[in-house]
Amino acid sequence: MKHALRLLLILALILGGSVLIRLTRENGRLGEEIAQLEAELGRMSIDDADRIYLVEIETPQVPPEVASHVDRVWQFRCYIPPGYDFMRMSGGGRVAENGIYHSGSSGSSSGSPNPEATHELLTISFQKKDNRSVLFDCFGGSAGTTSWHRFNQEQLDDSLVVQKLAASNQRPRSFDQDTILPLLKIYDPSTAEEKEVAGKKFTTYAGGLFVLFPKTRTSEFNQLHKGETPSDFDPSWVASEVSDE
Amino acid sequence: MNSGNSPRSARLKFSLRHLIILTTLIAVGIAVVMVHRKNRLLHQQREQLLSLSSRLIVDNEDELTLAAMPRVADDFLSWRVHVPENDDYELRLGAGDISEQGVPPIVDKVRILAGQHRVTLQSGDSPDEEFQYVVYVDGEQVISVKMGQDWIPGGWSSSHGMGWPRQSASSSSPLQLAARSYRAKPDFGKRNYFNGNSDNYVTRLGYRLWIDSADQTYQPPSPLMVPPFDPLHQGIGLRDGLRYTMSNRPPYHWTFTRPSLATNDPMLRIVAEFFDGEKSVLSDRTQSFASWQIRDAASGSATQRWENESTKQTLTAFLHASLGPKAEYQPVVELKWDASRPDEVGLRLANTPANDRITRWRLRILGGLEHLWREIEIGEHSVTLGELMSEAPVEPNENLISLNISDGTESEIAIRWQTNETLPLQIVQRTKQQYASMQLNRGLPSSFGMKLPRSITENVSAQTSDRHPNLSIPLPGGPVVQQLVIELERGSREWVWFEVGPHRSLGDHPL
Repeated sequence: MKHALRLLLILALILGGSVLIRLTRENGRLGEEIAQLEAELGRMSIDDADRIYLVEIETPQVPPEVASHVDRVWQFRCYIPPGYDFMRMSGGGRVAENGIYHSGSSGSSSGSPNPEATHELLTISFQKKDNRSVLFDCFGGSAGTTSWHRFNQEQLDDSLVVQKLAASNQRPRSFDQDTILPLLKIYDPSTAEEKEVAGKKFTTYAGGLFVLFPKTRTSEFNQLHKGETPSDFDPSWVASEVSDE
Repeated sequence: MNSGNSPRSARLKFSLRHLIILTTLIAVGIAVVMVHRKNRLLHQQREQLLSLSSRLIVDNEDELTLAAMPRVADDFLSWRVHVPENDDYELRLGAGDISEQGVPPIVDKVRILAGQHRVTLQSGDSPDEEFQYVVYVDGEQVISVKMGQDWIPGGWSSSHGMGWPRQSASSSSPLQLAARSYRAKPDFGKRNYFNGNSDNYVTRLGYRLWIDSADQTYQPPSPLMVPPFDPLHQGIGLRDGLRYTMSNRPPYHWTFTRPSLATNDPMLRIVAEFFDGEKSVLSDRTQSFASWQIRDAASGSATQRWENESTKQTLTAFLHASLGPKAEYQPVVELKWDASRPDEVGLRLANTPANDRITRWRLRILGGLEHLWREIEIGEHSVTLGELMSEAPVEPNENLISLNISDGTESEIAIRWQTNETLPLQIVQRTKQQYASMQLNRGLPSSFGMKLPRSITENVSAQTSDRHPNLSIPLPGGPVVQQLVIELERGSREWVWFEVGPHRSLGDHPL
C-alpha cells in the first residue's frame, strides 16, 4: 500500500511536470507568435473592456499590384466593446481645423451592435477615379466608398494636413463609448475660406473626414457637423486628434 | 520520527521525503493551473490577432488553403494561397451565367505551381470599365478579360457573393477565391427606382475565380430545384421558373413563386375544390384538412429519393391532401415542370386510387388585387375588363362574368391576363398616393396565362371587384379581376398549364 501510494505520487509528479514543461514551451511559442502578429498589427492591452481602443498599424499590408492604384492607406486595429452601437460617416467638401464641421457630400452606414467584444481592422484608403477622389473604408468585413467632391487633389502629399485619432508611433488610445471619434481628417491649408454658421465665424478648408460616432449621439453629431453647437456641449464629446502628419 | 508500533502512529507516519514529494506535487499542480490559464489567454489572443491578420495557416499540406488579405481598395481583392504538390492546379476565371448551383464557363485560366502565392483580383465591373477582370499572381498579371460594355448594358443595381455549389462534388475540392452575381439594373425611367428581391438560385450574370485540379470539368447546373432544397423557403420546381412554395398562411392555398421576376412574393395562388358528383369533398372550408404534403409519388406516405441529375429536364411532384387516416377522400394532384417550358407549371389529377371518386374539380386563381388584373385575352380575342363587363352578363351576387370559351376549335383554350399598368406595381404604389395602403406585388411587371384542355373545361369565369378590403374608397383605376374560376371535369389525365412570365402586350404573342 505504502509503495503504491509512493508510486502514485511520483507518477503524478512526473505527469504534472511534463504537462508543465509542454504548456510552458507552448506558451513561449504562442508568445513569440503573438509578438510577431502585434508587430504587424500593433500592440494593444485592454485594461477596461468597456472602452474603445485604437492603434494605428505602422505598415499596412498592401500588395504592390494594388499599391500602384491607391494613393494612401491608413489602417487601425480597433477593440470594440460588447454592445457598442455606432455609425460611420465619410464626407468630402469643406472642413474646419477643429471639430467635425463638414459641408459637402457624405455617406453614412451602421450595423447591429455585437453582444461580444470584437477586434476589428479598419482600413481607409484614397483612390483617384475618373478625376474624383474616392475614399474607401472597410471595417469588420463591411466596406463602402464615398466620393469626396470638391477635394480634387492630384496627390496626397505633405502639403496637406492629416489629422488622425491614433498614430503608429504612439501608444494605443482608448475612448469611452459616448465619444464622437473623428478618425481621420484631411484638408488643404491653402484653401482657407471664412464661414459663418449660427453667428459663429470660423475658417474652412477643402478636405474631408471619416468619423465613427455612437448612435446615442446622433442628434449632437448632426448639429456639430453642421457647425452648430448643441446645448450643454462639452468639448470632451469629440475626441481630439493625436498629431498631424 | 519513529514513535512506536501502535496502529495510530503508523497511520500518521510521514517521512521527510514524502513531505517534499507532496509539497512539490502541490506546487506543480498550482503551476500547471496557472500555466494552463495563461495558455488559454494566449490562444484567445492569438485567435483574435489571426482573425485580423492575413497570415496563411496551412494545417494540411495536401489541401488548397487561403487567407484573405485586408481590403484596401474597392476594386481589389487579394489572398494568400497554398497550392499542394499532389496535383496540377489551375487558377480559373469563369464569367457568364451563374447561380448558387452553377459554375460559369471558364473565360481564362492559368497553371498555378505548388507552393504559396499571392493572388489579386481587380474587378472593373461597370459598363464604363467594360467589365474587365484582371488577375495577378505574385504581382504578375496572368489573366485579363473584358466582357464588354454590352455584357450588362445598363449596369447592375446590386451584386451578391455566393459560395461554391454544394452538389458539384469532385475527387479534389476546388478552392473558390471570389464569386459575384449581378442583378441587372432595370430601367423604368428617372426617379422610378425598382427594388428587386430574389435568391441566388436564379441564374444571373456574374463571375467566379477559383483554383481547381487541371482535369476537373463541370456540367451545366440542373434547371430544377428538388429536395433537399427547403420547400418552405426556396421552393421546388424550376430555379428560373415557377416554384411551388409551401405556405402556412393559409395552408390550403397552392403558392407558386418566381424569384427570377425579382420578387419572392407569391406570383400564383390557386385554391382547389374537389367534387364527387355534386358533393364538395375537399375545399378550403374542410375542417379536417391539415396540410398539403409534397411527395415524389402518387401513392404511399413516405417521400422517396428525389433525383437531381443535372441532365434531367423535367420534374414531377405530387400534392397529397392530409386529412387524417380515416378521411374518405384524400385527393392527390400531380405537378409538372419542364425546362423547355420555363414560364409554366402543369397540374392534373393524379392517376391514383385516391382520386377514383373525384368526378370534377374547381380551381380559383387568386391575386387580382395584388396584381391589378385588368386586361384579359381569350384565344386571340383581347379585351379590357371594362369591355368584358359591358359585353358579358354578370351574376348579380358574386360579380362573376362568364368568359366565352366556346369560340375556336383548338384542343386547348388559351387565356391570358395581366395588369394595365406598365410600370412595376411597387413603383405604382410608391408614386400614386391612392394605392398606398394596398399590398401590391413587388416584382417586375408580369403576365399570366393558362392553357385548358377543351375536352375537360366546363366553364371559366372572372370575379371582379371594385373595392379593396383595405380601402374605404373604390379601387383607384377602376375594378379588377379579383380571381378567375375554372370548372374542370375529371378527364383522363389531361394537363392544365399555368404560366407566369414577363409582361408583354396582349395579342402580340399567342399563348
